[in-house]
Amino acid sequence: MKSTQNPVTIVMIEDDAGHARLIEKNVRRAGVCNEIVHLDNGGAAVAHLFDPAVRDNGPLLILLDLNLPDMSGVDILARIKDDEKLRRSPVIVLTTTDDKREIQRCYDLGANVYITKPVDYDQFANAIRQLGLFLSVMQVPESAA
Amino acid sequence: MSPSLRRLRGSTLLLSGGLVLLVLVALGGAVALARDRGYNRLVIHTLEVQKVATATLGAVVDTETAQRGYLLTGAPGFLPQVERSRARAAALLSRLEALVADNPAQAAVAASLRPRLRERFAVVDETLALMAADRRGDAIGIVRQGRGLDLMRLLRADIARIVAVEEELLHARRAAAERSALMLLVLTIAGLVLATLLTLFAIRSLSARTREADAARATVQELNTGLEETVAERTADLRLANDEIQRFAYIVSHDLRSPLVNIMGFTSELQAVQRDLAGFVADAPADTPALDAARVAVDEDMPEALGFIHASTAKMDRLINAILGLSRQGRRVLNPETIDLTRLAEGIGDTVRHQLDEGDATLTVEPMPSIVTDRVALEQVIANLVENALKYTAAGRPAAVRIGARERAGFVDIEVADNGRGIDARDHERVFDLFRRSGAQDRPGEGIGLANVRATIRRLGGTVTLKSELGNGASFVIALPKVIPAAISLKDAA
Repeated sequence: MKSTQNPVTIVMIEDDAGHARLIEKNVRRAGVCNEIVHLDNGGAAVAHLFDPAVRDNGPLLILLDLNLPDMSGVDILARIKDDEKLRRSPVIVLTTTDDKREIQRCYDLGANVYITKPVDYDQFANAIRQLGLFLSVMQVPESAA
Repeated sequence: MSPSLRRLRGSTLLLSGGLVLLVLVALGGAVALARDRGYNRLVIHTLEVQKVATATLGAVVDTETAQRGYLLTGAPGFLPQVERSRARAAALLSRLEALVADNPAQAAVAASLRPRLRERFAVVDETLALMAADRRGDAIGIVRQGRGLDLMRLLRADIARIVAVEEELLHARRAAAERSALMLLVLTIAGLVLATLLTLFAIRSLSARTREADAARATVQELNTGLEETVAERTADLRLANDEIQRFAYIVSHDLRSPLVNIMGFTSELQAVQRDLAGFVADAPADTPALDAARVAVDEDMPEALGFIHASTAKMDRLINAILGLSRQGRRVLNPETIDLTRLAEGIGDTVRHQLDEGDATLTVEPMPSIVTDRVALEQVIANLVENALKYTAAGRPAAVRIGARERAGFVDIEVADNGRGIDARDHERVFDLFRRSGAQDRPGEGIGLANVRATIRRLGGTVTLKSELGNGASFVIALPKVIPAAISLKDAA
């Protein structure tokens, strides 16, 4: 990431601290050094995303888990894609759910990538690292001022 | 039902009895009417007899009057009058005789009239003859003799007797006619009353019957509606319960997966750390006794512990996936289509060709009918049974698997039979349970296949049965409806 542009902030919405840690570790191992903001429940995530300081300032990349204790990740996805500013932020759904209908629904709502967390750690680490590589090359739109 | 049936029979009996009575009354009326008409005819007859008898007498008197006129005046104009009256008297007498012919007593009296009349007319003739011979005095002498008068008296007496007898008859017949008319009246009234009563009774019993039928129909309808509602309620309850179980299995498997990701992940992290440590300890000089404990821990204890954790979580992952698979199978929308069983079985044979060649095994597919059901589900089930047959072989005996089918009323029995190691009778039910296996646990597997088979076949509206004895192969028979009932395939759409 070039420092000339506003660096992309990764917002990770994940209720499981262990998962969050494993994801962060593996993203870092892939050489991604952007700031990662971790939020462990839906309410906090929505509050953070819709905070004007965040919403208006930034390219964001959102990692979203679907199984949250207080609300469904799908609802958060819908609200993000409904917001005129946040809708441009890529959303990567990273969850344990591999139900076909759920996957379809997420894409229908505008999710950019859907990744099922493999229980097998080698696969998991590999997937996250590849995601990291992917993140390091992808372009994220500047948030409209 | 029985009392009302008895009542029905009772009222029918009563009604038919009433009808018979009504017919009898009508017959009686007809008889009375006929008799009445007979009496009337007789009365008319009697009156006529009286009239004719009196007229006869009248004609005789007329004859006598004309005769006397002639005797008194000698005018010949009286003679034709005498002849006419005489002829009339004769004719009337004949008529009277004919009229009373049916009554012997009257007929006898009438018969005595004719000689007297002849005698009377003979006297008249005598006088007339004397007058013609100009012997008027002799003629009047005959009259004066009174012979004619005596005859006349006798004639009058006879005619009076006939009239009197007829008068008596008239009274008797009138009385009979009146009685008959009265009887007719009584019978008519009785008939009317009876008919009215019968009609009323019929109306009453008919309306009672109608009310009963209406009530019965209403009850049946109510019961029917109730039954339908009950069935609908139960079905809805069952569907809810089933959905609940499906959702439960689904949620449980997802929520169990989440911690597993952590256990697996951090175990792997630990393994990496352990490898680093092992490298570090290995790099340390061999004569550092302080590191001996660490060496054992890093080289033996930690790999062992981590290995168990790893294996267990891997197994748990497979089990969770199995539950998830079953739950998915239950949620999948069925898509019925016509399936050629022979071709389907041959297709499965092709997918295990490699396995067959490797183990010298054979798969025989017999000609089978077609069936309408969900292809994916059926394929999965038969493939699963074939895989089991190839997996659980008897020692020293190459597997020989046979797939065949038999049709019976509405159903197709598909059989997958093998010559493998067989299943102990005690385990025949158990093998269909999730995570349960039979015999020596020397083959890979989680005990999922047959549970899936049974769940799937049940979902397709069929049953699966097992025939086997230890060491002598096993035969699984899947009984499926020849055409999957719409209720099953449509259930998912709802």
